[in-house]
Amino acid sequence: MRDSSKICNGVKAIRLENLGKRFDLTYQKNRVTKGILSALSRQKITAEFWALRDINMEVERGKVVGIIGRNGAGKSTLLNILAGIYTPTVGKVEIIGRVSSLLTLGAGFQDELTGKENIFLNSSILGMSRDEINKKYRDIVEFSELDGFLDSPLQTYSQGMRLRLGFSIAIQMDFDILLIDEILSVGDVSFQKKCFDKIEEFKKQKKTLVIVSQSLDIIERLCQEAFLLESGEIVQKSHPQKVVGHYLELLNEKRLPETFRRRYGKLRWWADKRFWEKKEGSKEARIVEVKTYNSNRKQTRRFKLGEKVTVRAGFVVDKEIEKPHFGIAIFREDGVYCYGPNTSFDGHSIDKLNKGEGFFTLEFKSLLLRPGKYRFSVAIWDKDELWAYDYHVGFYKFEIIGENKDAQLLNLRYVWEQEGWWQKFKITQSEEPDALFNLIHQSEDKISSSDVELSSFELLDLSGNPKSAFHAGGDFKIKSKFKFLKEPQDYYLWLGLFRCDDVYCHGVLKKLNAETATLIYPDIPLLTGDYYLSIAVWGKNQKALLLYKNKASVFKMTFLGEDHGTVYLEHSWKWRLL
Amino acid sequence: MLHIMNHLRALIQYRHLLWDLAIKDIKVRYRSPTLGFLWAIIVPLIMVFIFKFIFSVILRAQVENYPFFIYLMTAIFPWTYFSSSVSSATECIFSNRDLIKKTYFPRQIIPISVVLANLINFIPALIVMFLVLALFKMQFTILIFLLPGILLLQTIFTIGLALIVSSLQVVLRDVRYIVELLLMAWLYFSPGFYSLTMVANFSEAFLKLYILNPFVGLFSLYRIALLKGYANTLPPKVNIFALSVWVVIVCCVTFLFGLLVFKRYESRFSDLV
Repeated sequence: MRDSSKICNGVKAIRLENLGKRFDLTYQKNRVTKGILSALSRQKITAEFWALRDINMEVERGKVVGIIGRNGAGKSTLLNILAGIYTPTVGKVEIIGRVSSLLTLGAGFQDELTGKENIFLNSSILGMSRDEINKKYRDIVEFSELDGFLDSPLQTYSQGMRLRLGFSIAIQMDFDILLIDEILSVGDVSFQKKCFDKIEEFKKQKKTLVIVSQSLDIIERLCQEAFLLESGEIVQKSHPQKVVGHYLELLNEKRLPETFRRRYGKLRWWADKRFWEKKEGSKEARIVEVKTYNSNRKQTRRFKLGEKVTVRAGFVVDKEIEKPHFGIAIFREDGVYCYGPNTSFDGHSIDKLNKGEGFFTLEFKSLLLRPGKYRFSVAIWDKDELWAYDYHVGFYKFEIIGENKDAQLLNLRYVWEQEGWWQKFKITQSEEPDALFNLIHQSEDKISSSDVELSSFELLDLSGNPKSAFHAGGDFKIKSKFKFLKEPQDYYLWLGLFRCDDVYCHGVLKKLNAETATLIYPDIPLLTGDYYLSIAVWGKNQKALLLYKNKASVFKMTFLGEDHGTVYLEHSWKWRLL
Repeated sequence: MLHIMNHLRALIQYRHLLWDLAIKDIKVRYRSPTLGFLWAIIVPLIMVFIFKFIFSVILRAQVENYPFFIYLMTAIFPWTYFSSSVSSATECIFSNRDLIKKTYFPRQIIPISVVLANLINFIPALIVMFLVLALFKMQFTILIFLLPGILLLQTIFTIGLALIVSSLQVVLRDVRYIVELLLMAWLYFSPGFYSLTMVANFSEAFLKLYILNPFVGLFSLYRIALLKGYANTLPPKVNIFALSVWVVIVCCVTFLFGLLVFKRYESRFSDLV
C-alpha cells in the first residue's frame, strides 16, 4: 500500500483515494471487561468509529498545504496515516518520496542513554543511514544548541531540551514530504524563530509540507492550499483564507461557547469588557484565591517598572478532572490585550487533578509593561479549551507605578546602533517626550519643513536585508537617514511603534546628531499582527515639529505560538496539588 | 513467498536500526546496575549451580562420562538465551509503544532486535562456558566449528517464536502467561539435566515422540560440538543425522511461519497498543 519507490507522473507527492479509517472499539472493551466472564458469555460489544471517511486528497510536489478542523475531526489520524503509522481500513495511500514528520519528536528517546547516543538511535529510527547520521551529526548538535549537554543522560534534560533535540534531528533528515503537527508552538521565542526560518527554507527548496495547526494565522500565512476536516470528512478544499473563513463560520454556527470563539476569533487584541468582573465555568474546579507577589516575594498589587511578578492562584477541585490547563491573561484597563499565556500553549501537560486543593503560579521574569492600571483573568480550562471549569474574567487588578503620560503600552528593550567610537559611551536621554507626544497627537499626518528631510526609512533584519515581515524573537532594526538643510541645532528624533489599531506600543526619543540613526529592538517580543511605525523630528529651539510622518512604515509580526495579546513576556509555570 | 522476500529485504535495509535497537536494549539494561554487564554471566551461572545442587547433590542424578556441571552448563546456557529472548519478546510491542504509535519502520525489527540483544548478551556467557570447560580439562575437537552454525539455527528458531508471541500478545493479552508456562514445561521436556539414554530406558515409544522437540536436537548438537565423544553416548535408537535434519527443518519453518503470523497482525498494532 505504501509505495515509496515508484514515481508516477512526477507531480503528485501524496494521493489518497477513498480512504477510510475505522477504529473497532470491541478490542478496547474486551481489554477492560472482566476477562473470562465476558469471554465465556461471548458477548461481543461492537462499536465502530470511523475516524476518517471517503478521504480523497491530492497534494502536488512542492506545495504547502494546511489541514484545519476541530479537535476530533480526524486531523491527527490523517497525519498518522500519511506517516505510515496507521494502516487505513479502506482505500489507497500513495506517497511518492521520503516522509519525515514532526508529529513525533523524540520518539524512542531513552532516558538512560546520553544525548549523543539518543541522537544516533533516534536518527536511525527515523530511517537515516549510518553515513547520513555521521554527516548530519554536527548540524543536529548546532541546531539544537545543546552542545555541552550531550554526554549527560537524557533524564537530566528538561522537557524543552528534549523537544529541541527531537526537532533538530527531525529537521536535519533528508525528506521530500514533511508532516508538521501543532508542536511548533513549543519552545522559547528565539528557538521558534529558528524553526520558522527553517520552514521558510524548506518552502524555498520546494519540499512538500503538510501542516496541521489550530493557529489559523500560521495556516493563512504559510499554506498555499487548505483542507477543512469535519467529523472525518473533507468538507472544503480551497485557498487558505477561504477555508479559514468557512471554518470560523462553522464554529459560530455550532454555537460553541463564547470562550472557544474567543480563542479563534478576532479577540486576540482586545478584551470584551462586558465580561469583566464576571465568573463563568462549570465549577468542577474552583479558583479560590489569587495573589500577586513582587521580586521580594512580598504580596502586593503595585509593582515597579520591569519588576518580577508572580501570580499565585489557589484552587479547590471538587470532582476529578482530566488534562486541564491553566491560563492567565493580562489586559490594560482600557481593554488592550497585553498577554495571555496558558499551560497548553506552553506545551505543559497536566495529567489530571484529583479531588483536593492545589495551586499554580505564573512567574513573569520581567513585566515589559509601562506604568498604568492593569487587570488579569485567571482560568482553569478543560483539555480542548472548549469550556472553562472556572474563569474569572478581568477580575483582578494590579498597577505598575510611575508616570506614563503618553500612554505607551510596552517597556521594550532597545539600543541605538553606534555610528562611531566616540559615541560609544554617550547615552542620549529623552528630555520632554510627553510634550512631544501631545504635539504629534494634535498634528496632521504629515509635516515637512525646510530644515530637515527624511531621505530613507527602512526596516531591516539583523543581516541588513529590508523586510516587512518579522518573526517574534528575531532582531529588528529601523534605519532612518536624514538630510539636514540647515545646521542641526538640538534636533530630536522620535520613533513610535503602534499596533495597526492605533494602540501606542512604544516610543523612543534621541538627540539627532548624525545623518543616520538606527534603532535596534533585540529579540523583539511582539506577537502576531500588523504594526506600523511613525517618525518625527523635533526642533528644541523652534519648539515645533520639523518633520512628521504617520505610518511611515507598516510591518507584520509572526509569532509561532498561539499566545494571545501584544507582547510575549518571558514566564514560567508551576503547579502542585496539596 | 514473494511477500516473505520483501520482508527479508526490509530487514536488510533496516539492519542498522536493528543493531541500534539491540545495543540500546543492552545499554539500558546494564547501565544502572552496579555489577553491570557481569549480570549476563552471573544469572546463567547461578542457574547451573542451583540445578547442579538439586539434581546431583540431593537427587543424586548422574550422566555417563561427563562431570554433571559441564553436562548441565552446555544445555542451560543456550536455554537461558532462548527463554529470556522469548519472554522479553512477548511484551516487546507494548514496551515499545512509543515507537509503534509514533514512527514508521518495519515492525518485525522490534522482536528481532530483542533476540539480537539477547544473543549479544549470551556472548560473555559463552566465553565463561569455554573457560569452565578448560578448567575441567575438557578436550576440544574439530567439531567445535559446528558451534556458530548451531547458534545460528537456535537464533533463527528463537526469532520465529519471538515474532509469533510478540504479535499474538497484542491481540490476546493472555499469551504472556501461556508463554511463561510453556517455557517452564519445555525445559523439563528437554534433555537438559538428564540424558537421552534415561528417556530411552523409560520408554522407546515415548522417545519417538520426545525427539520431535527441537531442543532435543539442539542440546545434543551443542554437546556434540563441545564435549568430545558425546555422539557415542547417544542411545542407538537416536540417529544424529536425522535429528539434525529435523532441527534444521523445524527452525526454518518456525522462522517463516513467525514472519507470516507477525505480518498478519502487524497492521493492527498501532490501533491496539
